Amino acid sequence: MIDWPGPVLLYPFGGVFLFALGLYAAIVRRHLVQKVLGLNVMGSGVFMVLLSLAARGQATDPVAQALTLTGIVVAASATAFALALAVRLKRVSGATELDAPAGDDDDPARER
Amino acid sequence: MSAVLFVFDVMLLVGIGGVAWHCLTSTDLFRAVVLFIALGLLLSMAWVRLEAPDIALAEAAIGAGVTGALLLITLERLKHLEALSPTGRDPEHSTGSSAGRALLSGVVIALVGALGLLLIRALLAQPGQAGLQPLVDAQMHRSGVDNPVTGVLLNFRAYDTFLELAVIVLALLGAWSLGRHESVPARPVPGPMLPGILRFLTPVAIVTGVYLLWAGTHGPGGAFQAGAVLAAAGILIVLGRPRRLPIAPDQPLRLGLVAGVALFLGVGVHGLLFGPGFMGYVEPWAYWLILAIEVAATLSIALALVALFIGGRPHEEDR
Amino acid sequence: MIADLLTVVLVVAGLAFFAAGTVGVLRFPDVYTRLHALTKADNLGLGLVIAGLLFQADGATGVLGLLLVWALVLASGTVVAHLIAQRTRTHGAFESADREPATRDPEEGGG
Repeated sequence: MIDWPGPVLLYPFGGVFLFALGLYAAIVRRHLVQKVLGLNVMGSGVFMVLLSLAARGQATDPVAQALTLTGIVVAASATAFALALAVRLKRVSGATELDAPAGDDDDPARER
Repeated sequence: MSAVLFVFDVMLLVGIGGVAWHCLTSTDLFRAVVLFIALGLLLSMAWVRLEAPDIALAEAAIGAGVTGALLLITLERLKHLEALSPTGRDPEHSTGSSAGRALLSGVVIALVGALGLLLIRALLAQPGQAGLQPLVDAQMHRSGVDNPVTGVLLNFRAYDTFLELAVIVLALLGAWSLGRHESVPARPVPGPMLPGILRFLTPVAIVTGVYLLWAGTHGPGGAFQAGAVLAAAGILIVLGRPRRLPIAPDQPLRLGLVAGVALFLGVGVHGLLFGPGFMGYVEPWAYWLILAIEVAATLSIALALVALFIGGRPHEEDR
Repeated sequence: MIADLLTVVLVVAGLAFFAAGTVGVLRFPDVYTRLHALTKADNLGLGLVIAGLLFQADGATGVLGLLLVWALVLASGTVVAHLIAQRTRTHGAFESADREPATRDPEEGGG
């Protein structure tokens, strides 16, 4: 199917780039929604590395595909829960960031 | 042909990298979320290039569609809460440590860059092998289905999929434990367009979902993609009349939410008692057991995703 | 052979409409003109691409599937364009009105 080893050569590096970019955003960006976006991009990078390594055989490795499918659904569930926590944090403390000024409402924020 | 494909791959990867970059560095959250949805669609094209159509379907439906809707409604909720009780800004906190933040940013860039180089080094050292694909091929005739991905998901690695369904229920329980739901902070759209398209699209979505579910046994598709399509229809219905959420009777709703996990567990225990072990199928029934589990899982996934979109546990007195 | 030629001509014509629509979205000044560029050009562009691909479809189901894709994109595109335009008319443009006040790090813009 694949005439040249293109996807095998290129896509793993794209995956590493997405992972690094997402990690950077998840650490440096302060708004919780931005952190969640960063984590999701990290996940996409992992999926890209997995699938591109799985595409080296004649057909894409179905075990890696199943793992990635599982990963996408789990990432969506975790994102939904994280966003619900962010809305709750905003409701309780008015903050949309984790490093809010020290106070009582700081501890539930750190739980995440 | 291969030169054209090479150019396409490079353009697609540059596009993905650029959209991800702008998504994560944008200071406008709405813009960031729109770019994230665009990123999901580009990624699903990359999955097609990597010959993983199941993943492409799931990415477009769940990664871009449902997650995008969740992010957008979260932005609306945060804005709604900000309007209810303005906190204003905390200038001393946000501007005081600008030099420290620049330093942090530099350190993180250095660390992340080093990690990326290490990962690339590790990837280059990977031996080129076919992985588990020959093994799966050799056993496919025993799985009861024709699509290898479905075979792995629901037969060979059924345990993973079972726990994945449990994770969805767990995420929903977590969201429900944070409080009761309020009406979705979206404004009803005046005019006949939204109700009209809902009447037209809901049956189409149901047919598409059922088709994806049925197709999953022999081609790309399956419970997750079907559940996501049905959930999208549910989310549209919720958005169509945000003031009056669809009334779901409590008991059937909870039963539907756990149907996938419960049936999966039941079949797994049946395998333990009468068959090849926990999460194994008695072989002549494998197809029908897998189909039954997929139907229940589709229902649970669709209900759970809509419930996660509404957020908070339901209660009767609000309606 | 004729079919292949028709496919190439129609798909290239469709791609030209996509390109024009994309340039319009990037260059036009406000939501309405951008919507105009996006929906008109892309619906026609997709129509031409689908018309081109019809010559390559195998069997009646393939043809029906392609036509169904086109019909669904037409329907959803129409409604989405209407909803975006209506929301813009009643609530203002997305960028200015919806800027989240909590994003307070302009120095992060460059990454």
